[in-house]
Amino acid sequence: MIQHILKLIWTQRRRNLWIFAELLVVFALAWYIVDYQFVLIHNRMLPNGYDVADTYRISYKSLTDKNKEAFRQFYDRVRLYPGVESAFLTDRFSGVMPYSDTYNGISISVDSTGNSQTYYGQMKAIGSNNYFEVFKVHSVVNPSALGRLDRSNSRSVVLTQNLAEALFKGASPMGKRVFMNGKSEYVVTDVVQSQKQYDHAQPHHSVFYYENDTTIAKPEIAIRVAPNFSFEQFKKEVSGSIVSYKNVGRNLDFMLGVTNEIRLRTGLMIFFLLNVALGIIGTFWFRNAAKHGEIGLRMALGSSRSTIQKQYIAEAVLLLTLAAVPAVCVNFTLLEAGVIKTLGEQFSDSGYITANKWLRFIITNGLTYLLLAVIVALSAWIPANKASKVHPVEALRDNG
Amino acid sequence: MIKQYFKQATYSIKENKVLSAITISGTALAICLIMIMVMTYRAKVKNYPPETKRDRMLYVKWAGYRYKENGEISGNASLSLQTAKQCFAGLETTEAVTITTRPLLKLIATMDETEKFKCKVLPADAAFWHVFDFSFLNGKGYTEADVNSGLKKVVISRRTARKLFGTIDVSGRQVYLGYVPYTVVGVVKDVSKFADSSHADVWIPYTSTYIREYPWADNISGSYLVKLLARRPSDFSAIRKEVKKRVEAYNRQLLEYDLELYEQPTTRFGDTENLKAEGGDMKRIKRQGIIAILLLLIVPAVNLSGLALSRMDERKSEIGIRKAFGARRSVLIAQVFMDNFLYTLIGGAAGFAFSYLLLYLLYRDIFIGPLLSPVVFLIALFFCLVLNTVSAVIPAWNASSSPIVNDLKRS
Repeated sequence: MIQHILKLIWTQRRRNLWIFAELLVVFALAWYIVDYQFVLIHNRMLPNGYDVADTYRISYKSLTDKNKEAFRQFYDRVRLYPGVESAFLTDRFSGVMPYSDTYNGISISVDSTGNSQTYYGQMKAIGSNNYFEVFKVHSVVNPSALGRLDRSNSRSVVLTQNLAEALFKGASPMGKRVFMNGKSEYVVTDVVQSQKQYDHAQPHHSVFYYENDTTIAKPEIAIRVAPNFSFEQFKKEVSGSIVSYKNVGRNLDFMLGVTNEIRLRTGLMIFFLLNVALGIIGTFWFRNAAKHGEIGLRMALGSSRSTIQKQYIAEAVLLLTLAAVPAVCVNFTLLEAGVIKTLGEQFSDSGYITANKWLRFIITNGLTYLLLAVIVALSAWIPANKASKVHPVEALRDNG
Repeated sequence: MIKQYFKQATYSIKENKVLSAITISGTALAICLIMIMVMTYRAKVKNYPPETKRDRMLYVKWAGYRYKENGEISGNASLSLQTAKQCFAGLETTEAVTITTRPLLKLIATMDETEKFKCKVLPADAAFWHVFDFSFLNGKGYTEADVNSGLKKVVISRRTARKLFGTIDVSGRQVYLGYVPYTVVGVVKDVSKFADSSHADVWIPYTSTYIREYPWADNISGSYLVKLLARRPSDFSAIRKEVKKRVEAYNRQLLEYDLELYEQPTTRFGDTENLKAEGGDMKRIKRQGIIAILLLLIVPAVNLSGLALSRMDERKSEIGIRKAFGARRSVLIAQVFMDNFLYTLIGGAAGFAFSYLLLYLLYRDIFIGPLLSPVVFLIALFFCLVLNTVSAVIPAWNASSSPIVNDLKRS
């Protein structure tokens, strides 16, 4: 069957050349978009390391000596409001809250001599362990418990799992010393899940340590609520500056331009696929007229309607497969030329599929092939269907 | 003669309804997408209300600070008020300089608190109303004196006015903005998000509210942005020279760090691309834009070319007879182009009209008015011609150069 179709493709090679060229170009362009989507979906599927469901952010104006007391009362009102399960207080620019646009970086290593590798991460200063309660951040060492700083030890720090693994490889980090910015010595008392800064990013290294609430200049309160919490009531009675963390995340994606990037790529993908569909339908439709007689002959000799249709579809898919070969070579060139943009931060030792160049290349090209094959098959079916409805006697009489 | 071509082309369309539909759809699709990109670009970069003077404006939004000792960049943020005033205020080569901050989100409420909602606030100075062309439906903007005294005055958008008061005749009334009473001095026509330098729901003097300071690193960075209005675009290089002198003098006063402005002040084009601090390479960005348009044209061009070729194949016998009767090559080529052009024209017109609809659906608050200019029509026509030429050239060459015998054989 395949050999037969290949022969057919070759005899009509002049006309097939156009479709071939189009499929080649679209394959390469579509792969670029598929790769982007692949990384995006992969990253989105990674756990955030914090749970923002049923959490809200409440803002307050900057603290001055005059309103410190008023704020204290405000905080108590929020904490004790019906439906509020837990509350956590931090500064708007501490970088601690999910989807914060602030990033305070530090360097961290296992000794202060500079002999061992230095890693970079985000420092998150927290005034209480309520953070882990509100965002349900679990300890990795003791999975049934939430993460926590050891409040009896002022040098206690909590690392995220990826950082702990990088610093200590397979050994347990508990109770071990770490040095931040080369000089300050701390002790690891807990390890929590790795955390992402944005939904579409990969987790980066983070360190939690204790800092007193008195340093807070622009307060932000995070609350976790129970089902009996009334958002509207809270807005009326306590403060209108309340927004769910889910919406904060959505707005951040928009501000970073990610939302637009995704829309643009999706739009382009649809554009290319529509063009392919139109091209396939057009090309194969032409053949209907030319092949009238041939189809009549086939049917007279025993081909069923579905065989005729299958032949059309097989021819189209085979054309795609032939075009895919040079297309993959083009993609390979694009890959080696460094044209492929990676979404967010990438660590070469991250161990994620997206960092494995070849595996990712194979998977994304495979996905592109499948996507195009579906479009091509569906598009070829339309003229195929029309062609198969020919009455053998009429077709033979036509002798077209 | 042209009438002849036209008749033949029309007949050809009627003869192959399905194929004509496919060709026209393919063209419409391509033109639609290209025009959406063109119009979005124009709305972002070319003059667009209220930013009607973009062609003679320069933008500064990033201030990096460089450690004097080792020359390394230590950090980036927007400008501090100190930097903005010392390096840009009163530049002689400019017509006006406006200082704004990054937008804030505040709660706005009527005095009796019956209406309250979050709104986007843009703190600005008095020159803002000169540099940007807002349409005032009521009242006017706040003045230099208001800004100098830090008075709590606010200009609100029509949408905000309606939401708060149900009417736009509200100058003189008071509102709570971030729990502080402000007096409304003017109501303006709503601003589209494409005017991102001036977009907000309400505008206040930046001196009337707390703007965060970053006092470390010699107070070089902060939350402020600067826009320069030149008298003419040809003044740009003179302005840049004057800014450079000011920055050098400024850096001499600073103790530990130097101000780094990268490629700024930039034109509007540089401003829209500069999402990250360390600036983009202007040439690379322009090149990427051209490549993008080429890619968008290639796929439909290949498509339409294939379809045109098949169409010509169908008419081979007719072309053969015409050749046998002495038709010149140029005549046949013209026939192919004209034939194709009719498809392109119909498809292009449909796609162009559809692009306006799609733009409206994508960006509800876009003003179609400024996009209905003759320039835009000409651009659409240009792309139609390009598409037409590219997709007809090979079929035309093919039709005119194949031997007569082969053409006649097929009949």
